[in-house]
Amino acid sequence: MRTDLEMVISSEADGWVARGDEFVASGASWDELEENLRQSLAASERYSAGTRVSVWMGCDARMIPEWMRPYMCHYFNRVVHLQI
Amino acid sequence: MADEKVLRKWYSGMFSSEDWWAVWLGLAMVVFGLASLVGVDLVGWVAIPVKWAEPAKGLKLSGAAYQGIHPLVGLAANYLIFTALVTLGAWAMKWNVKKFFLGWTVIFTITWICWFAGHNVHLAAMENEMGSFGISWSLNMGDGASYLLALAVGLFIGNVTKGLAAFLKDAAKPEWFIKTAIVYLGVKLGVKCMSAAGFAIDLALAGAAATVVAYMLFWPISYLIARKAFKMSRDWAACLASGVSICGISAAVATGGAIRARTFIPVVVSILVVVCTIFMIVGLPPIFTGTLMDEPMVAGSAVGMTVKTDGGDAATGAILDDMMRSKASQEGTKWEEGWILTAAVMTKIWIDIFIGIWAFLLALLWVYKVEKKPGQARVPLSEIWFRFPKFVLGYLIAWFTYVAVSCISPDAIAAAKIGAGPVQHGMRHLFFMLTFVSIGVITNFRKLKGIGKPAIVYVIMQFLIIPPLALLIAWIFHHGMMPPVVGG
Repeated sequence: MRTDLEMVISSEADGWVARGDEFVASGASWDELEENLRQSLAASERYSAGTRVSVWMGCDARMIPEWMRPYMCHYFNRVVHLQI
Repeated sequence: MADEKVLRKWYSGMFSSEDWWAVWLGLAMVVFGLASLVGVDLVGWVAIPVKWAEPAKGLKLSGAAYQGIHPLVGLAANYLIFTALVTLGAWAMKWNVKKFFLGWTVIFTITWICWFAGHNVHLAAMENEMGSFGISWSLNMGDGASYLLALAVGLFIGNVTKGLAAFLKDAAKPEWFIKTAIVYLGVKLGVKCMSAAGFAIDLALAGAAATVVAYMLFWPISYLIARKAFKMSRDWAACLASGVSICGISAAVATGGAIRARTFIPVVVSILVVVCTIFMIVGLPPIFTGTLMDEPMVAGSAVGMTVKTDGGDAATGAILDDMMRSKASQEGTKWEEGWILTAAVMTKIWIDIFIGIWAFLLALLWVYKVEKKPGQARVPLSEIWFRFPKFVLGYLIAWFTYVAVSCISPDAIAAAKIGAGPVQHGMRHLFFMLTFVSIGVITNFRKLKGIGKPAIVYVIMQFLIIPPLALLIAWIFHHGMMPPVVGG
């Protein structure tokens, strides 16, 4: 499945961070992260206003503690669509 | 993007995850075992303890072709061969190979000491064997003595000798060991199907049906209790419900990921799962043996729905299988070894298989009903594959390979059993034993300190709600099923 952008999600003390393809966005909640990312994409001029950008987000497995990874080494992947 | 840390392709993690390495280790030995079809025994070197009154008679090699080798030489060869294989896996998974090797050597040694000691006739001999050993008393524990000894030693290390526990933690891999053992169990099931295919199919179907009902019943009840009775948030209630009602850590993490919960939630649930599992391993077998001798397969399936980790489930199932067969044997009935264990493991495998589907459905539910973003978020179908327990593939391949042998060439069955024996007996028991020691080493009861309300909710559901429901569901789908009798 092709998307416009691919980002890796990590979990930090005060929220989530998405990094990929020169963009970094963070947020205490998913709504906040996605809004911050949308604003970053809009400010970058790579996408024109009104464009619907698909973003593949995959979790860095290292946010699952090492002792738990033998049980499940995958948190989630998600595709979100952001309207610029 | 570092692909090895993010699962992107269907083959991601194929050589870097314990799940897949259980498949490689397991199937490697299955392939070697199949060499017996052409008259070559590549697995008979596996060493096993036998019940002994004199230590010098307590060790033997599995295959007839290897009887000329001194057992201690064989045991040394076992260490070298298994060490090479697991160290290869450790290297591929980018662990600290030196620390793993040293820890593995100690765990292998402890495992063998417990395994050997547990076969002393005063611990293991059944009542009808005591005369032949010339003894007047025995605890009649069968294989259970070795398992419980290994667990006790592991728990002692994990909770008392902190330095040794820290030294061993890089090599104490209960999930890897038990998943490998389950692949070997697939060989056992394949061989059993050669003579009891109908029963095996009935067991598989009953396990699947019980699993579906368990999902439909356990999860909503657990979720509602957490939400309504204990006022927990949706994220906490969902992860707790999955952890306690489905499959422990893997379900808690899968659910946390599906609903995008903060990671500390499944971490706390996982701690509760690991610690409470020990009580299941120790408590369920004697309780079920004392109350369910008329319904042994019900007992096995109930274990599969009650115990929340693969290692714990197989460990509990193994002890239960041994205890129930021992008691039945004393009452004049000799059940074939492994069927009660298979009921426990098969139910658990179905539960594992459905985790990915369940998490996918939860993710959709959260997108459409909780987050209300139907047009803005999409849950890829690949999420089901990434959460699928890969070791189950090894189990199914091993199982169906031996079924195929018996279907395609019935004349080859005897030859196939020569290679299957050491794999499904010696290797399986060794990896079970490694699991028991490792579970004990990694279980630290002090981790429960400070968890608070989630611990109370979990304990109530795990010990008061789930077991009776599991028994009811197991009874509905398994009552009347009895293990085949030896020679029957």
